[in-house]
Amino acid sequence: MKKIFVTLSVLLIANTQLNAMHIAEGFLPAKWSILWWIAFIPFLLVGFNKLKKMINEVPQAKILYAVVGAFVFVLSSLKLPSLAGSSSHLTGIAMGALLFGASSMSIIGIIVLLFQALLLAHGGITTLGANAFSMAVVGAFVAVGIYKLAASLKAPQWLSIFLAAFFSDLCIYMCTSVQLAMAFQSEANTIMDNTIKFLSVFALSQLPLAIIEGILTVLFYQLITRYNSEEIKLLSKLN
Amino acid sequence: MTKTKRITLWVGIAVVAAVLFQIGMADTLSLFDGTDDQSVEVIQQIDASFEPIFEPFWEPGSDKAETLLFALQTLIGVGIIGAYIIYSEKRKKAKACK
Repeated sequence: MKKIFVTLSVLLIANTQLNAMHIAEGFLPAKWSILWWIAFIPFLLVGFNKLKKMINEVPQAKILYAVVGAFVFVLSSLKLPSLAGSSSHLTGIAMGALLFGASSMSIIGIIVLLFQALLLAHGGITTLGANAFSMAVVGAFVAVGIYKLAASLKAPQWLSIFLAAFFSDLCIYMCTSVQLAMAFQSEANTIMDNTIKFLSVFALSQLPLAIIEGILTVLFYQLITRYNSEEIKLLSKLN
Repeated sequence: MTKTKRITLWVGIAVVAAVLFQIGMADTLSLFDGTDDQSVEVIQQIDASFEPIFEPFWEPGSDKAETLLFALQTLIGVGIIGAYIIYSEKRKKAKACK
């Protein structure tokens, strides 16, 4: 009971006004906006089909999917102060990727980002493809890859989950840095120069927050294992 | 008090405390610049002539309004998680009774 209360309280109290992670509306040249949309759409289609199949096979997983979606909803709304007087936020994408597979998170990713773009003027429609690609594709696939790697090295499950969430969070911001670096490259500013500039903004802020994301993901995984261990086993077989 | 009622009560207390905390601390925590604002500054340093290709349809009128809107997003998420905990506790109890 105490653990549930502490987890919910941390999730709630950390929230204040948020300014982080997303590429702001209009801040990608048109050709890059279109390119990232094109890159994201196949993952969305594959994710939709995969999720449909999983829910057909394990109907009880519907509730679980709503809950991992809610976890992303909460974590992506958290602004936390970090190093160098800046602030940034968590993503929560690893949790669902580990349960439902990486591509399934593209649906939750686009819902959350669309909600923020339309209702909160955070991120944007033109940058939605790029933001969804970094958060719901790169973040999700990194989480699954790191989890499998850690598991193959016989790491304890809690550590595998922690590392998956930690690296997923970091790689989302690295991807955002590279996306911006590519969009604003020129003779004077190479991709490498730009990447270093954008990473200097994101990486330092994100490191401690990635640790927090890892801890919260482990706690949340323990919570849902308490209630849905059977469904989790069935889903892991399908994955 | 049943376990389900206790959980509901704790979730309710957490929600109310969090909303009050967010409103109270909004000014202090707004001193920390968001990394996306900083990235916009880097874009302007790299390419001073760049103009955003599109503007948001609308923006919250003030920091407080933005805080409350993000709190709304948090509350929707926490509400679903809270409902899930209550539902799962009931299901667990029903299974144990069988």
